[in-house]
Amino acid sequence: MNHRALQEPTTLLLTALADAPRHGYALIAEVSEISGGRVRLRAGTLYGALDRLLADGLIRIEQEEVVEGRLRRTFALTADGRELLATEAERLQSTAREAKRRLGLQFRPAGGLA
Amino acid sequence: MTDRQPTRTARALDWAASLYPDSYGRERAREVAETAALAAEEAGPWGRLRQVADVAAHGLRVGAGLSSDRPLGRALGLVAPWAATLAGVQALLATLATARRSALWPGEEPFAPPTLPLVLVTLALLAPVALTAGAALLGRWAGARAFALAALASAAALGAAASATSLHDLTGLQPGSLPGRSTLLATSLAMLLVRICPPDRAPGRRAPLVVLALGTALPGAASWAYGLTFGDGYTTPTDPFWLVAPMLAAVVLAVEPLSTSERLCAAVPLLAVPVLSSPYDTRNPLLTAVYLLGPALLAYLAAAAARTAVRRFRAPVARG
Repeated sequence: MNHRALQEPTTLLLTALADAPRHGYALIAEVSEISGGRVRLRAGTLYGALDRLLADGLIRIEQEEVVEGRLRRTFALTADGRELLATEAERLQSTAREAKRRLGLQFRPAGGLA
Repeated sequence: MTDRQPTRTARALDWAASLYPDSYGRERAREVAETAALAAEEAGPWGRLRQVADVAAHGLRVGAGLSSDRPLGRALGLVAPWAATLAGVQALLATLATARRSALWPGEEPFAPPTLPLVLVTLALLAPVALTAGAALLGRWAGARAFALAALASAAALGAAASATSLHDLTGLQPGSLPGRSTLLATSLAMLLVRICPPDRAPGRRAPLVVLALGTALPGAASWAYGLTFGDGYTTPTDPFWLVAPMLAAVVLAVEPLSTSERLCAAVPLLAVPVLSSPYDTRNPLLTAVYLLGPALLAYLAAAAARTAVRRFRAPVARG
């Protein structure tokens, strides 16, 4: 299947959900950590993106609980989301591999950069 | 003071959460506000304000059906970057044409070189529009939205300056040398689209076709309506624009990897040219159609040749 390249925040969100289900604020913190502090999602933008990913069937609501009278939803990747993220990771890796090859930076069996 | 800040932020977030429609759910709106409150704890005053503004904007967008999980929001997110690009091209050409035309009024010095104020006025509008378009096309929504706001402010200032009686005394510029009202309006609308569209979508590949189709049809319709209303088809700030849309359509047709149905959509602006040329020019529509299609054909051939050359250049590397 020929996927279009994902927007960086979308890739980061799916990556943040790849190893474990997370709720809203945990996702903000996780995306910030994965991107080295470069991408700091704001709450409105985050939930806008989550609503879209839910509608697209790429994520699902893993758990919905009320903590001290407040709703807290935990989101998780669906099988489609996992497949899309794997495809995107492969695409990024392929580009990175080619960039390294052209720069003469690929790893050699002996170890270390060429 | 430090105790008051979280309270003020919490109150502001309560207000922002109240902007969500009931259909979204009170609990879900509260959840967004709570998340924003947690994120705001680590932020400075500016960061807290941006959190509140972001929640408020999301609430309004959901209420208007413009969030990215709704069809209208998705369409807007795909089209807005290209509309901004087209607005930038239109603003550039219309500004230059208006400035040139103003130098040719009877009694004025013909072909006067551009003065510093004129260059500054031109850049004041074009720079933020160009930056908006570039950032939006790259999916950098935070930057695009900030530049769009600057472009809106610039357009409003230029609109006010055009009606100021002391403009000539202050700058040496004639009101007629400023971008026309229709240019400012078209630019402002495109910038508004960037401001209101959901900030989590990439510009779509098919979107240019829709924008080009509209961009071809709307100036023609505006020109026609203007001619009907004022009985004078001469003063049309869209004049320089109508050549651009068919040419861009031809380039998209040649360069974009399109399916058959997409190619048909791309061809619509070109196929519509003979029909649209009658409102463009009621005196000699056939000549106008030829005038529009000739450069479009040349643009198509040039783009197709460039695409072939790039593919040949890349092919050995890709196979290797």
